[in-house]
Amino acid sequence: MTGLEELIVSVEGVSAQDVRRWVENDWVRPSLHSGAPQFEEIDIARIQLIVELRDELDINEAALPVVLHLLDQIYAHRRLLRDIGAALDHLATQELRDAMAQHVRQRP
Amino acid sequence: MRRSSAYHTHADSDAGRRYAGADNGEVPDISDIFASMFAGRGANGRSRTAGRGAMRGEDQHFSLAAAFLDAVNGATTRLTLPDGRTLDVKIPPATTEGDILRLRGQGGEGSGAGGLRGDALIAIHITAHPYFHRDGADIRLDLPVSLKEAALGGFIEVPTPAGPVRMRIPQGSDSQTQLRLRGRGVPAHGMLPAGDLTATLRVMIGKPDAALEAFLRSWEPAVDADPRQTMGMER
Repeated sequence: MTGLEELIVSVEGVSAQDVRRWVENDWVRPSLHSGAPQFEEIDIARIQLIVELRDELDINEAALPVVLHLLDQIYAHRRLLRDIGAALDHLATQELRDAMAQHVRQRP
Repeated sequence: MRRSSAYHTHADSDAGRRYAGADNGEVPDISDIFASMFAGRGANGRSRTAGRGAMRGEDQHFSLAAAFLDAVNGATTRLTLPDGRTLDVKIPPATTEGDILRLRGQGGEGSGAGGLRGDALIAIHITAHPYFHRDGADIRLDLPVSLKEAALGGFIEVPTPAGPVRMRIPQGSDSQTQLRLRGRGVPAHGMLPAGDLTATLRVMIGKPDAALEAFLRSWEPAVDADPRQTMGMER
């Protein structure tokens, strides 16, 4: 867990103002402890990613929510696929799993 | 990109759930996924009992105009499909506008050995009734009454969706008086109780009547009330 002051020191190219705005826009979701934001590893990695998108790829803040939204969707879909995989792993026979894998590979 | 891959590691872990949720409206719930996989809703799902290469037929959408009272009381209506087939559609009691009825196995033909037909999905559109109006489970009705019935009161016959009933009008009922007939609205269905029928009285003077005219000319009301008093106008 990292506080805001510590965060802006450790992440290059980001100001406290940037981070506050991004939290307000719900692009970054730190947990709150006694009213102060506490950033976990994923939040810090996300802030680094936003900085990279903004400064290195020149994606302005109007377009950023679109990019983040698509990214979040991809990870939600990946999670869903893993959940389905886990359910099949738990419930389906080895024979059925092999048949499914073969069927999916054969699809055009 | 080194940093993106750092984010990927976190986002793809359990910690990534923090950024799923409210913002990911398009990602379906796992039970929706299973429903679309196995219930064959719109998807060309393979029937479990069918042979290899068998495909379930498509679901087909139709619409059916239902008369107001058929939708309230329930009825069976014959629907002729564009391909010439006819379906007997059972409209359940208390059907509402836009309800969709599913007729299993009445949709598009399946293909291959044992490919099941899809379903027919029938959207119900209810035509208006000349004097009944639906208000949820209740039914509203403008009920014309004669001057004599309104002034003197008495029993009159009131139409309801399930047939006419006798109702007492209190003496001195004015226009806009609302009378409620409990349980005479939309019939009970499932867990829901029957609705009520609300009749709003409308006093009709009727055709000119010499005796009434003569009486009114000589009539001196005991209380000379102004019906427009509440509108703030001077006489």
